[in-house]
Amino acid sequence: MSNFTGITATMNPLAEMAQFKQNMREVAASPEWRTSKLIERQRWNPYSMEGGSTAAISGDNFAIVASDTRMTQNDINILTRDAEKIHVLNDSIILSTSGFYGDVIQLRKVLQSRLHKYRFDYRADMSADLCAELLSRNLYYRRFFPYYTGAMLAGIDENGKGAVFSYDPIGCIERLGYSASGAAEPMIIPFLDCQIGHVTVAEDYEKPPLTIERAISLMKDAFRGAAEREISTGDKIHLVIAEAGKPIVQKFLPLRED
Amino acid sequence: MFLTRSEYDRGVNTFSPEGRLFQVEYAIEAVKLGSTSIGIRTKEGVLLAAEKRSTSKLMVNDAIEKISKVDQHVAVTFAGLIADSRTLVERAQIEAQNFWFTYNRKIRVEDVTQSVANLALQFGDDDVKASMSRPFGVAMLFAGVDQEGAKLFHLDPSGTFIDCKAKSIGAASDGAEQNLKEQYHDALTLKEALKQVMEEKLNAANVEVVVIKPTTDEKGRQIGQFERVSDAELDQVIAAL
Amino acid sequence: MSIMSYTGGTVVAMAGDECVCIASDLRIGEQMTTIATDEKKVHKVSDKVYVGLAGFQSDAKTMLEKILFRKNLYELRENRKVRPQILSEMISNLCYQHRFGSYFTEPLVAGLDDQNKPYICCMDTIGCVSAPRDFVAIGTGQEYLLGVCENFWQENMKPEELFEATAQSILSCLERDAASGWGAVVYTITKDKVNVSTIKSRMD
Repeated sequence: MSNFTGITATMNPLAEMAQFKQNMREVAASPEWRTSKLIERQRWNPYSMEGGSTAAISGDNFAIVASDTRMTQNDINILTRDAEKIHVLNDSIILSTSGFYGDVIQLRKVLQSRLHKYRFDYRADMSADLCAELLSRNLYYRRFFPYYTGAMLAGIDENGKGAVFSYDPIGCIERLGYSASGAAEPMIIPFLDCQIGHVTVAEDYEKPPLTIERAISLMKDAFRGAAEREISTGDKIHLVIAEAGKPIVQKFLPLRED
Repeated sequence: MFLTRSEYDRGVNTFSPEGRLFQVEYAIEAVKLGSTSIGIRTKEGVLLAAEKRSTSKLMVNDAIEKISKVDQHVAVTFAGLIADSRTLVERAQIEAQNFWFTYNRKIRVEDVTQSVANLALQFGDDDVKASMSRPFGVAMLFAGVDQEGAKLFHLDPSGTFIDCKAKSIGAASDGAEQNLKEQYHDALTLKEALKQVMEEKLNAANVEVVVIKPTTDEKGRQIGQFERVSDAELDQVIAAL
Repeated sequence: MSIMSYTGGTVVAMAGDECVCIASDLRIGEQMTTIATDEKKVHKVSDKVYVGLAGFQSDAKTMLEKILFRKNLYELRENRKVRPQILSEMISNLCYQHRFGSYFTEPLVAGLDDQNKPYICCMDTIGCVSAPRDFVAIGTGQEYLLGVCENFWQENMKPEELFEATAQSILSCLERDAASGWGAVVYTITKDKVNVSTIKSRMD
């Protein structure tokens, strides 16, 4: 939009002023940042968002994953209080996804079938490292109609270390010490930054070691804080704990239900 | 064997009353017409050597390739109908790249052998699938180094594959294998293995040698490195014999 | 991009035992470009009353002038110092007067009243006040702050604890919010004095 239409070099000063004022009025009445909103039209949208959040922390020999179990519609209605967002794929791989629940289910099925086939083709269970790469590829296959999910993959890697992989919806993969995804991601992430990343304290400050007990207690705090403020997060904490050399443990803990 | 063949060796997948698939057995025989190849597994890596038989002095010897690269860490040599081997090598190459693309990891030597073995029995006289109408007439030696160490696999036209320490295929395989049995020991070095191969009174022009040496990838995992042994190096070994 | 996040900036306030803390970052930008790195979004209005203005900073500047104008007029007419409760009501009125062409700034008020009782509140651009007893946050880093504050805030914190909680909260927020940053300034308001400290955060 040009703000100076109708002004030519040969105009007399009075007409020029009048035109200028006219232009100013038009701009004031419909500034660009407002008109752009009006242009938006309602279109059918193949995606929906069922809310909820998940987070994962990896330690030296463990990985813990947590999510809430609420499923919402338009952030207002609660569809169910028992929707699980964490899926244990095998003895060392945990998939945790938030976002569009239809895509969450599809993605889980795709990975489960690939894991099943892998077991026959290569006569071994897939490791978390391989599954992480596989998930990245599978997300990118849908580059132009993506799975609308914030996926995270956690587990014990081939070296017996805890692992957390974080993804964007089209498969950009990153291995992190901790991660969060979903509606309360902006609330959980800075808390973990502070408590696990120790980004807000001086270099020489004595940092507490990340034990499995501390990680679990931080996870509970993170979700209780998130449930306090974020409406699509609540009902129950689904906690999944993978420790090297031990079977995966699953727990449900109470969370705000309002 | 030859007494009953008239009835049962026409259909490629018809069993004889004795329970044999003659076409597959003949395919195994075809391997013995091919030039000899040897694979030796040592602690320092795996070695493949192939004899290049030129039937005429008008043939360009350098143009014959008897050892193919499947991936950075896997090599394969073959004996029998060379044309058939092209199909199988291509399958191995595709499978290796596919695995790497999907999992960002180099495929294991056993798995690449398995995938080629799966192809070996996909023949038939119906035209339901666009597959081969007869068994492949080649035996192959897959050599490589993966996470689990140096590997050598022998694959025959029936699709059977066996993990080997040392193996020979082709026309002179019986004699060569006798030699290998006598001289192989677990502490063998690559240099000794190379010498052993060269005992057959060969020269740089009629033998092709590839070694796969263990190395580590950028993530510190063990993997192999495909290396063709140059003519100069071969001449050196021959001179030292 | 929304006009509310055009310049970026975050303000947070926490209440303690006879003390309040108010903190802001120091960045001003034009969308992704950083323009200045020493712009406090917290302003002193009276002895123990401070205002934080997040959102579009051009509007925030004008808003601050208008707030000071009305506050000065109030103190002259009434011949007494303004209390934070009164100030928030004044700002709310001011905002709502521009209901259909509002200033793109969210005000936050923090201070101690004449009984040294802490008072904190924030409002939206048209003056809807929310005055909780624990903490308030406004600006681009609001969501980041609420999550951390929820875990840091405790009942009846002393000034030292309150400062620590506020500083840690805003530092955690600045770690993730790209539109805010370049250090922070924290005002700790107690009944005797106001302590101002500038803290370093990620400088990018």
